[in-house]
Amino acid sequence: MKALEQVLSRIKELPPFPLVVLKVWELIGKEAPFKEIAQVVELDEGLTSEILKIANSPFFGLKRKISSVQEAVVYLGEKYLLEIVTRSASKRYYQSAHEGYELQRGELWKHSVACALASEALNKRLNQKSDHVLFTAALLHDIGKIVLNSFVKEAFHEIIKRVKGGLTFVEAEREVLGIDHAEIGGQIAKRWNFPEEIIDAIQYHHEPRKGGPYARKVHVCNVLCSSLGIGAGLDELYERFDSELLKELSLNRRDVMALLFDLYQLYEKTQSLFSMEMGYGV
Amino acid sequence: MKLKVVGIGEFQTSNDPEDILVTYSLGSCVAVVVYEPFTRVGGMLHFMLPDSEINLEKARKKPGVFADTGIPLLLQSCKALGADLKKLQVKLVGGAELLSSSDFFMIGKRNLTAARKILWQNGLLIKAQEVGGQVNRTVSLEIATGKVLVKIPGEGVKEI
Repeated sequence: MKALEQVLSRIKELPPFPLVVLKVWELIGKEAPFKEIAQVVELDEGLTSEILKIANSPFFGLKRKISSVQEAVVYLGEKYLLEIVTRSASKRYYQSAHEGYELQRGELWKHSVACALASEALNKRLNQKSDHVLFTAALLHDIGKIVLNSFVKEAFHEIIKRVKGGLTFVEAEREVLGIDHAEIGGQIAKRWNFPEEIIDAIQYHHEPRKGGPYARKVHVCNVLCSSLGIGAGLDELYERFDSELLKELSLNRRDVMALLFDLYQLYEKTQSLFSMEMGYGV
Repeated sequence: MKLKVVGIGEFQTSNDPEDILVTYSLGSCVAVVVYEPFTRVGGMLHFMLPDSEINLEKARKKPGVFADTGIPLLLQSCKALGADLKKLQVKLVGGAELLSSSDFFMIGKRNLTAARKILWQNGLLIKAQEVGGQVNRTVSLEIATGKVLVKIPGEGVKEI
C-alpha cells in the first residue's frame, strides 16, 4: 500500500530523540546518584538552558537565581528535574498544528502533558510512587499522530464515514490507511531506542489488553484527559474505553471522580508552563 | 466585541451587550448556558463533575467544578445582575461519552443527570440542548442577542 510506505518513510525522517535524555533515563533506572545525572544533563547545552529557564520562571517562584543543573536539583528536587528534562526533549516534536485531528498548535502538547499529569495523579491515588517510565509513556503516547496527521487530513472523509458507522477513530485509521497512530508511535519509540515498556505502552494505549501494565495505565490516563476535553480534538472521544481496567486497579466510581478532580488541579497549576514551552512568552 | 473565556470549573455572567461568553472543548463536562431576554443578562458555567461531596473543602474554593455548587452560584450571579430567574432560558451543552465497555464510567451522563435535577429543583426547564455522543463541543453565548452557537470538530457550527 502506497500510503503505508510513505508513512513508514516519514518515521525515518523524524529527528532522533536526544541521546542525553536516554542516558538520563538509563541512569535513573540504575538509581545512579543524582549528581552524576546532573552532569550528564549539563553536557547538552540546549537542554541545560531550557531547564534553567523553567527553573527560574514564575511557576516555581524561587527567590534566588538558579544557574546550574546541580542547583536546580537542589531547589526543585529530582522528580521535577527529571520531568522537565523529558518534557523539554519531547516538546520539540509537538510544535505544529495537527489539522487531521482538528488540533490547533499546542493542543496535542497540552493533551500529552495532561496525560503525563494524569499518570502522576493515578499513581498517587493508587498509593504508588511516582514512576518515570509511566510519565514518559503517557507524555509520548500520541507521538504517532505527528506522523499520521497529514495522512489523516488527506483521507479525512473516508475516516469520518467509518467513525460515523461505528468504528473507533483508531480502527478507522487502520482500515483506511493500513496503520494507526498507536502502532506508528510504537515504531517511532523503537527507532528512538526507548525501553521496551514504553514502546509497549505507546503501541497498545488503545488496545490495553494486548499490552502490559503500563499500556493499561496509559489507556486510563488518556481517557481521563479526553473526557475533560483536554486537547481532545476530533478523534479522542471516538474511543472504546475499557472501563473494567478501573475496577482492576481497585478504583471505585468515587475514586475516578476524585481522580478527575486531581488531574484538573494539576493541569490548572501547570498552565503557565505550557505557554512558555510553546514559546508564547512567559 | 469582547470574548470572555470560561475555563474548566469556572462561570461568568454579563449584561454587557459587547460580550461573548465562550467555553472550549467540552468533553464529558457540561456547559450550562442561561439567558434572560428582557434584561439581557446571560451566563455560562463549565462544570466537570456532578457532586461536590467528593471533596467538600476543594468545592468551597472551586465551586464551579461541580454541578451542585456551580449551578446555584450561576443563578445567583444572574440575579445579582438584575435577571428575573423565572424568565431564564436554559440550554445544556456537552456531556459527551466515550464508547465504553460498561456504564461504570459514564461521567457525561451523570453530569447531565445532575444538571437536569438541579435545574428542575430551581424551577427551570431546559429550552434546548446539544448533548451526549462522542464529540467534543465549543459553545458561545452572545449577550446582545442570546444567540448560542455550538461548534463540533468535523461537523461545523450550529445554533441551538
